[in-house]
Amino acid sequence: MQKLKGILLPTLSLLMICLVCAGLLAFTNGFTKEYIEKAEKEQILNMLSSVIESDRFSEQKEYSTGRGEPYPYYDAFDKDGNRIGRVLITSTNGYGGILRLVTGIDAEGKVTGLKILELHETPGLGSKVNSESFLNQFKGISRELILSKAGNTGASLGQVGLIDAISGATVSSGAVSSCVNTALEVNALIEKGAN
Amino acid sequence: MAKTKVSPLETFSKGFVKENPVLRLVLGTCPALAVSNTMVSAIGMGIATIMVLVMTNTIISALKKVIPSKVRIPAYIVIISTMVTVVQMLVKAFLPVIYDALGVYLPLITVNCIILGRAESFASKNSVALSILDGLGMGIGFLAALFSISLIREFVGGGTILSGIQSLLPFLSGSSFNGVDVASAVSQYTALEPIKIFILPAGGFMVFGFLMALVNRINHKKGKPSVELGCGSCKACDKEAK
Repeated sequence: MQKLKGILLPTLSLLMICLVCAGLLAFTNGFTKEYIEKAEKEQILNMLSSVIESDRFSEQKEYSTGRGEPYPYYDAFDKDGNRIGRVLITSTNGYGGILRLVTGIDAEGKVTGLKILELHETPGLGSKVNSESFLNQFKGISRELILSKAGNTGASLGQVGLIDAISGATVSSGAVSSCVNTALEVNALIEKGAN
Repeated sequence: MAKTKVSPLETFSKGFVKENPVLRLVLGTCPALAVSNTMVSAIGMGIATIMVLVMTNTIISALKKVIPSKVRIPAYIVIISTMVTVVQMLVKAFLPVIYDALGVYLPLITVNCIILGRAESFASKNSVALSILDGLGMGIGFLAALFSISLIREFVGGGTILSGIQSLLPFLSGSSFNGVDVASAVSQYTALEPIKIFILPAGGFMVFGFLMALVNRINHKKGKPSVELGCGSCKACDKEAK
């Protein structure tokens, strides 16, 4: 009897603790659920409207090129319901891990803005790609990008589509350019499919 | 620790310097180093840890008679992980930016040795009131350690102080204060650049070592005996000693 008690008592008290804890978790989950969903939606909306000016966005859609993972994208509409652009999420490997980027592209296929979602580049070097002056270079571009290093800057050659790499961070700069290139490519493919 | 009479004030304040969990007991160093490259995430982590620590200390101390000693460790872990998950959901719902900044280190509070260490060596042997004080004191000590490490790292390594504070204190979002950018102010006059290594992991270890030496020095000067490292005060060792 004593032995049985020695086994049962710890088991039962542990069971009780687990039950109470599970109940508490269920309660907190129910309470915070709608706030979490609201915060996530707000975050997505902030991200989308930071790259393209629009009155309304579609739900998330996906486009598969047939190789690799499908690309998530959102259509952007003006207040009359005309499609004025598209926001695409693309990613590639940077210097320190995956680099994820949202690109806004208008109806003419020009880049309207970029925002980096995920960045693991070296702080102080590669992380500088997340600066306004670097990202603003991409605005208005519609053709494939070429990365240029010091010496033959895009401005000096007077060419559109030439991006000045950040010194000491060629790989990271290249990763951003390649994300934008992919976004432009995928956007063109979606357009082709839509027409 | 529990055998000698300790005043409530002493219970509360010992975590600040004398038994600072990070700099003296060397507990919870992984989160302390990982999130201390910016002050905002360090403060967020510190506050989250205080909340969890006070909650777990209270519950474990209240249940100390109910929990059989054979299954006390699994019981503690269940209670701790529940509290961490509760805090995690709350942070995710109301401070999503902090949730992103803390990343994986928020759920990892579960295995932060400070929490289990206080549960085992203090809350399981003392009254609820004293355990709350102990949790608060130790939590503030943890926050203070993270604050000092991150202040040095962010200032020397990034050239900013409290950069992005608006994400932590939403009521500031109307004002123009969003941290001090010392580096860009200084760079107008000189070619001084922040020392980047301090926001990298290696710099974290350096700052950690310097601060540890400083706190040891303060305690040494006061003539306080050095803290015994290890789990000298926990139940398992008490039993062996008997």
